[in-house]
Amino acid sequence: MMDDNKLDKLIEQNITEARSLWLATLPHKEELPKHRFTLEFCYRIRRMAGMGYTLSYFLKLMGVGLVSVFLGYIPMFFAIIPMAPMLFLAFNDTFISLLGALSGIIVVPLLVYFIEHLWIWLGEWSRSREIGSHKKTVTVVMALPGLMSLTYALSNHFVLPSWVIGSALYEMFSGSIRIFAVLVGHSMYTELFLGGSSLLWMVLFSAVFYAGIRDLPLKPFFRPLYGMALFAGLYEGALVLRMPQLLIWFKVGHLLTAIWTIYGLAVAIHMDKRKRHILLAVALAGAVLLAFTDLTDSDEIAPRDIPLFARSMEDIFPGYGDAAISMKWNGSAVALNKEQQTEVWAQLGTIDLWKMKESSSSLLGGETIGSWSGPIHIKLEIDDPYKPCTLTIAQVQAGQNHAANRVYRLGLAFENGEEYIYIGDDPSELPLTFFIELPKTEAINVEDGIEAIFTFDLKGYEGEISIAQNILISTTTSSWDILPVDSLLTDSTYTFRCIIPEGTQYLFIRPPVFYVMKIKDDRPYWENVEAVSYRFECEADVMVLDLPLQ
Amino acid sequence: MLAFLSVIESPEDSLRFEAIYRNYRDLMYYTARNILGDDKDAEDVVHDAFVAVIDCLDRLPMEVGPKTRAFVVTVTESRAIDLYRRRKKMTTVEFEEGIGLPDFSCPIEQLAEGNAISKAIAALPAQYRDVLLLRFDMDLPVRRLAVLLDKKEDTVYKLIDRARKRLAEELEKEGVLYDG
Repeated sequence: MMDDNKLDKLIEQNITEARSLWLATLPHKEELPKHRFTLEFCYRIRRMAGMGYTLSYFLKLMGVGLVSVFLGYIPMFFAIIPMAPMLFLAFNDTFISLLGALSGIIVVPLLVYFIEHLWIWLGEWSRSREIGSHKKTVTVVMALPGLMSLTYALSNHFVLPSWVIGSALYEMFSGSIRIFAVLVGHSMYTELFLGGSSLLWMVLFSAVFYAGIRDLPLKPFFRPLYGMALFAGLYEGALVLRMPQLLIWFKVGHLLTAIWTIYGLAVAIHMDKRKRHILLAVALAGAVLLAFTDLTDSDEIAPRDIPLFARSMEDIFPGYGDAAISMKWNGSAVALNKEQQTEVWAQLGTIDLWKMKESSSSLLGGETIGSWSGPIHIKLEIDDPYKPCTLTIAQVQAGQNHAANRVYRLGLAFENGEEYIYIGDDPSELPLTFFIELPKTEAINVEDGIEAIFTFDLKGYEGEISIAQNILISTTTSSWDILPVDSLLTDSTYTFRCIIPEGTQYLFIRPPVFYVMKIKDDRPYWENVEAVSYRFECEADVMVLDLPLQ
Repeated sequence: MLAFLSVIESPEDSLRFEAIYRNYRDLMYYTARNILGDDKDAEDVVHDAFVAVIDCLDRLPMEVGPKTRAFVVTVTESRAIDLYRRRKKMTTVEFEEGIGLPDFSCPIEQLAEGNAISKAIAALPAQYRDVLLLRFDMDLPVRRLAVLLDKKEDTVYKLIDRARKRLAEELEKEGVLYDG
C-alpha cells in the first residue's frame, strides 16, 4: 500500500479532473425538473439571504415603538386625568392622536411584514418568489399607492387645483387614498408624522415601498422612525400640558428625527454616498420649509390652545370714557405666551336700535395681553356706555391666519351683567342684547307701568329656534331687574308682553334671541361671517317693534 | 438558531448568495430528492445546505462555476445522506461501513474519458467522494469540514482515511500504479 502522503498528492493532482468527470454526470440546469418550493422554504431562504424579517424582529420593533410613544405620551396622560369630565372632548384630540400613533407603530411593521409575504405570493407568477426577480410586478403594484399618496399629498399640501394633475387622475387617486389612509390609520397620517405634514409622510411611505421593492432591510429606517414617534408623543404631551417653551424643541426634535429617518432610508436602500448627501440636503431644505410653514401654522397650535369652555367675566365697569373689563380665564393657561406675540384685540361693534352695523376691526384701546393665565384687563374707550356693543376677543399669533382663530364675543351692555356676559367660541350662543331707548312720554297710565308688546316676525327663519325668556329692564343705569314676560310663539311670530315700570328710561331686551340653527340654504350660519351678518340683518329687517304706550 | 447567525449582512455576499441560489437550487433539490425520496425532507436539506454555503462563502469563487457547483452538490449530498441515515435509524458504525446505504456512487462507465485516478475518485461512493472533494478541491481544513458536515473532527478524519483506503483499493483493482 502506498503511504497517505503520496496518495494525498495523487488526489490533489487529479481532484479537479475528477470533479469535472463527476459534474458531467449531473443533469444540466435546463434538464432539471422545476420544483416549486414551499412558502416556508422561500421565507427561510429570504431571511437567510438578509432579505426577510423575522416576526420576532417586528415584535421587537413594535416594542420599541410602543415604549417610545408611551414615553412621549406620559405627560398627556397626566394632563388628561384631571380633565376626566372632558374626556369626551379630549378624545377628539389627544386620544385620537395617541391611537393614531399607536396604530402607526403597529400597522407599519405589520404592513411591511405583510408586503414581504406579498412579494412571495406575487413571485409565484414569475417562479422566483424566493429572491427578487419579481420586482417589476411588485414595483407596479406597490408603487401605485405610493404614487397616489404622493399625488394626493402634493395637491393637498400645495393646494393644487385638480386640473393641474388631471381631474380624472386625481379622482381616481383620491378614492384609493381613502382606503390607503384607513389602512395606515388616519390619525397617524396627520399626527405621527410631523403633526400633519402629509407631504413628508407620504414621501416616507412611498420610500418604504421602494425599499420593500428592493428587498432590503429597513433597520436603519425604523430606528429613527421611532424617534419621530417619541417626539410626536412629547409634542402632544407638551401641547396638552400647555408648555409652549417645550413645544418648539419637540418640534425641532421631530424634524431632526424625520431627517434622520430619511437618511436611514437612504442607507437601507444602499443609496450611494453622493445621492445620500443630496437627499440629506433636500431633507434639510424641506425641514427649513416646514419650519416656516408648520411651526408658524396656526391650524395646529391655535385651535388646541383655545380653552375648551367659556370663561366668566369677573367685573365690568362701564362708564363714560374708559371702560375696564377684568376677565379671568378659569381654565388652564393657554399655551401661547408673550414671546409668541399673542395678543388680544377688541372689536367694537355698535348696534343701534335695530341694526348692527358692520364695524371694522380695530384696537379700541385694547391692551396687548402678555399672559393668558389669570385675569385679563382690557380698557375700552366707549363713548356711550349704554350703547350696546359686541366685543370680540381673539387670540392671534403673529403671522397667522386670523381666520384660524376662534373669536370670543362678549355681550357688553350693562354692569353687573356677569351672567349675561358670554365668552365662547360658538357664535350661535352669542346673546343679542337689544337696547331700546324708550320715548320719553308721559303716557304711562298703567298702574304698574307700561305694557309693551314686542312682536318679532320670524319669517325667513327655518329650523330650530330657541328663545330666551328674560327681559332686563332698568330705570336707572345701575340696577336691573328681570321682567316677567308673557310670550307667545306662533309659526311665524313671536310676541311677548311685559309691563314696563313707570320711569323706565332704558330697556334692555335679551330675549327673543334666536338660536337659529339653520337658514334657508341649510348652511349653519356660524360657518362664516357672512351668515352671521345675514342673521343680524335679517332680524333687523323683520323685527317690528310695537310699543304702544298707554 | 443557526439560521439567525447565518443571515447575510453585506450586500456583496447577498448578491453572491443570490447567484448561487438561482443557479443551483434545483440541482441541490434534485440531488437531495434522489437520495431521500421525499419533498419536504429534500427542502430541509437544501435549506441546511444553504446555511452551510453561507458559512463558506469566503472559500467560494466570486463567480459561480464548476467549483461552486461541486461544492453545493457535495454539501447537499452529504447532508442528505446524513438525514437518510437518521431516517433509517442507522448507526454510525453501519454508516461508516456503508452497510444498508444505497449506493450513491457514480458508475464508472458513466464517466467520460479521463485518467484512471480521476475516474476512480469520481466513481467513489458519494460520502467518500464528497469528503475528498471538500478536503482537496476546496482545500477546507478538517475543522471547517467538521462544521460543514455537522460531524466531529475525529469522524471526519476517519471518513477521509476510509475514503483514501477505498480509493487505494479501487486503484489497485484497476491496476493503477500510484506509488511509483
